[in-house]
Amino acid sequence: MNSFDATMATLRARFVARAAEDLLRLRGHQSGMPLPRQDLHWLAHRLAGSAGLFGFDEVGLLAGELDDRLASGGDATTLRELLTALEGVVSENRSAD
Amino acid sequence: MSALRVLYVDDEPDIREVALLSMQLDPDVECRAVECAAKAIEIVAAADWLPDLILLDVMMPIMDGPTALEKLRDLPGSAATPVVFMTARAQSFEKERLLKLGAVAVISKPFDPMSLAKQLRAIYAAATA
Repeated sequence: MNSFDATMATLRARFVARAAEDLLRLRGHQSGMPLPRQDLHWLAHRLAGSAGLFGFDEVGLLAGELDDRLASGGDATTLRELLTALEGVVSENRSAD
Repeated sequence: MSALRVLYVDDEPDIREVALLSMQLDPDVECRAVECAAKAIEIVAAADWLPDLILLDVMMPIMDGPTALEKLRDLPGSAATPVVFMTARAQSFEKERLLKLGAVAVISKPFDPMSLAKQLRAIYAAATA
């Protein structure tokens, strides 16, 4: 593995760890501990910009969609889909460890 | 030929690191990456390392990319420097809005780490032709 690939692997692992934290926050948001709207917007925006860099295209696309929809009123369906996609990323990468 | 100096501003550390890494793959690109627009303004104002191209994230806390562009235009060291925006919200109307602000190009996130430097060199060549 060259240094580019090694650094990308480290960053990818960091992304997955953060995705697990995002997942907890989104689950909380869905179950009675709502995030401030701005926090939810930043979370979606960050995932939209970074998930695809590490190969998690579906998370990136859904987060981008949520980012757009939050700007124009919000969307519970996209949020649920994003949550499911994030659950997939976290569980697949946990079982790969 | 001297290397293309790129000043890159992005608040998100992972994205910043990938972009920096991808630009380091190209010996014809020299990049300085900072986490906020205020630091980019400081670098340009100091004038000891002036960028040929500025790459600005659009959505950042405290000072967003469009505001940073306005401030950079007021500095002699970056008054005419080509600026490229980088955004995760890359719908065509958003791109048009950013180009109207004076950017020479808009790059969508996620970008391709293997071709980012080449893409920036091409944008710079077109902007300065």
